[in-house]
Amino acid sequence: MAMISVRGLNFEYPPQKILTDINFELAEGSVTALVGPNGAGKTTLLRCLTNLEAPLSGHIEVDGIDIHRHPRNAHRKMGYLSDFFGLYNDLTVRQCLTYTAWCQKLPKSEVHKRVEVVAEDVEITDYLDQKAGSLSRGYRQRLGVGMAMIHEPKILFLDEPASGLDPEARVNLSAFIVRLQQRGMTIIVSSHILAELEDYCTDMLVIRDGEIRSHVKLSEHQSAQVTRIEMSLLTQNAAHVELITAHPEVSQCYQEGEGVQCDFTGDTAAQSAFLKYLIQHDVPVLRFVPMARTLKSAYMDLAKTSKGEQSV
Amino acid sequence: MIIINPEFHRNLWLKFSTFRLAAMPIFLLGYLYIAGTSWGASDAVLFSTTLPICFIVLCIFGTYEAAKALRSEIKGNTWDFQKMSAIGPWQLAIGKLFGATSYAWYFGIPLLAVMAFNYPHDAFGVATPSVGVFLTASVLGAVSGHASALLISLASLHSKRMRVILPLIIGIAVASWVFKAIIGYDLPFAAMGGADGAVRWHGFTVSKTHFDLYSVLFVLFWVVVAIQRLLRLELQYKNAPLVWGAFVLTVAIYMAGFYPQGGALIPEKFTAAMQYWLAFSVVALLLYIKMLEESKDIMPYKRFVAAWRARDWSLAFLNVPRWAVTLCFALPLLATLHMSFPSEGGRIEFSLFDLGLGMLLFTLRDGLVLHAVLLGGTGRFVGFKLLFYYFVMYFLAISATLDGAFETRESFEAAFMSGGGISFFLPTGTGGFISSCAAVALQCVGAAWFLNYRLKLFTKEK
Repeated sequence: MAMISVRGLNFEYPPQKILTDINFELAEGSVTALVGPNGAGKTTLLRCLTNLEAPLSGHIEVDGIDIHRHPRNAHRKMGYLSDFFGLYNDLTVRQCLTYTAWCQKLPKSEVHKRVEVVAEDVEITDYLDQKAGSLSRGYRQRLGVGMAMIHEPKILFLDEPASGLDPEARVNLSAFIVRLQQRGMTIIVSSHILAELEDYCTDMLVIRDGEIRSHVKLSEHQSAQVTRIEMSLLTQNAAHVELITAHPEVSQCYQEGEGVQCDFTGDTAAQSAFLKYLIQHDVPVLRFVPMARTLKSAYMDLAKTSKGEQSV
Repeated sequence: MIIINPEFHRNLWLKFSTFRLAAMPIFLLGYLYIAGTSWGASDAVLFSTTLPICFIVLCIFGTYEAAKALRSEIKGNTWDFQKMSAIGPWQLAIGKLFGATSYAWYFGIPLLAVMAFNYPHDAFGVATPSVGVFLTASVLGAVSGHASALLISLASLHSKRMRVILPLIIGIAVASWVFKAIIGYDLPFAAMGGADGAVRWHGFTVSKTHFDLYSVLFVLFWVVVAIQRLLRLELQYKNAPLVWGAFVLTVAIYMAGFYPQGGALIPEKFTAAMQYWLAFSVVALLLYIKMLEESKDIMPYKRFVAAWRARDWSLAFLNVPRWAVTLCFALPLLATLHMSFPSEGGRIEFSLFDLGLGMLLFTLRDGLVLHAVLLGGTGRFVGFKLLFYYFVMYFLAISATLDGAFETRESFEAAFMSGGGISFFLPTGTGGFISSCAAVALQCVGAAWFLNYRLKLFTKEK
């Protein structure tokens, strides 16, 4: 059964249509990267999924619960950290976590223990008695994540969680998400930094102009053994490109300046044979680098197929 | 640790620092010491000097705290955490109402105690209420003020210009009104009371103090319910229109009780009709307010249409415009008026039914025009558009029509009684059904066409 199921979701801020006919399903334990250019509707989609905004129409089910009919039951299954989240600066870290635990109706006897466990999880145990207002950006982020998951939600929504974090804090955040993934939590992360999503994402939802343009299951994508090969040629002409494109294991070919890139479906032996084939046909290869397909390259390929290309 | 209400508890953490905890007893002891040494500790002097301090603490400071409770959540970006929690709307309402104002109560209750122990018998220069009534007035006044401020700030939660000042002013006004009403020297419905200091309501005779107390409790009940209903919407529950219906019904019944029974102004046989008229007037006013309010947001209409098209009847019911619910009360009341108050012939033909129908039609006209102007817009210059409309329709047009109307009896009758003059711009109920209602009915048709045109234009633009 899908952990998140969205059907016919439409959202408007009159007179603008923000989301149009959104449909997708995400499996339990998946980690989904929600990517798209600025203004594509990522945050609005996350806010609709968490039922913080009421859509015009459509159905959203989370772990089998219709979030519009049973908002509170659905919220017990979810944790959410928004892009611009706030903390109660005058409360201590312990008080922030305790208050959130009470609000989530955790049994009173478990609150103290749960606070300790979460503090350890997000590595803020040493700061429990400090005021939230005195924490650095990275530690505020950790506290925010801790508050979002104090009730052990099945699904965690993170909106640009790495923005404003220093490189070390970003690495820690990635490691933390990997740990949550290993526990079987379903996670949706909206982010611009695709390289960081690479380590743990199982799915990628590409949103553009308020529409889901693609739902890529990265595991399937990777198992297809598509390899991007980057080549530099001494002289480049149309005949060389035609020759490369004509090879049976080349699925796509792109020209970029002096270089040529192609998507190659064969294994390493086939790659070796492909290089031999190029040399035998007098293609002046200076550089031949097989690259692993990345989330970024997958996204950029999708972006290239759309009109009005924008950077991420 | 006993947790009564998480939101209340959080507020206690925020409001009660060690310094603030210590400040109250230090202030109180200092104040009593100065009072004892300088003023001779006279009951009356101590009471009258404590009263304004208590007013500042409970009424002004407490109301300010209530008014900024939600603003600080929005400003601090913490509102989403609360909306995502499992806390219910009642818990949130009570937690915010009493939690945000907890320090004002911590400071105010000892001051109230000081006043209660030094309560003079000529405190307010009128038949002196008991200490119990005074304390009840103070507590209910403060709670009403805090609740009103919280309600107004909640209603303007998503406004770009969410301010503390308006809820604060309204809260202080409500608190003062409630206090004065219960104390008894400024009865809200004094004109309805008899010479014996009693209020006659729906044929029952109740003492002024008790009646005002019940009235305050009635108002306070609906204010707290309104807070809870708005918080429900914030927490993404869907509100059924039943509670709004219950509000309209109870307010109509409450107001209908104020007809001066047994008075000489209107014959006894019209008592029932006048009660229906009072009830209808209140419902018509609520209908107008709801139409105006709902003309600014197209989304509930779109959700209603989307649910209707999807044959999701329960969702469609939840999204029914509240003005339509109010209309369901207005129409039967109007029909009852028609049966209980027949048209009076003679030189001046007047009918309550025609007046009532005229009121509904003018409400419909204004509602249609305002929907056409405001729906689907960008939300900019709403105040200016409203002001312009009302200036043209209810000032310029009426001024022009009434120009010279008061010079002779004939010109007055021509303006008011023929149906051809002022009935274009105001409900009059005079001159018969056609004269008083035909003009506005035509305007309604024109307004409906205008709304249809605007909606088509809006859809096309998109």
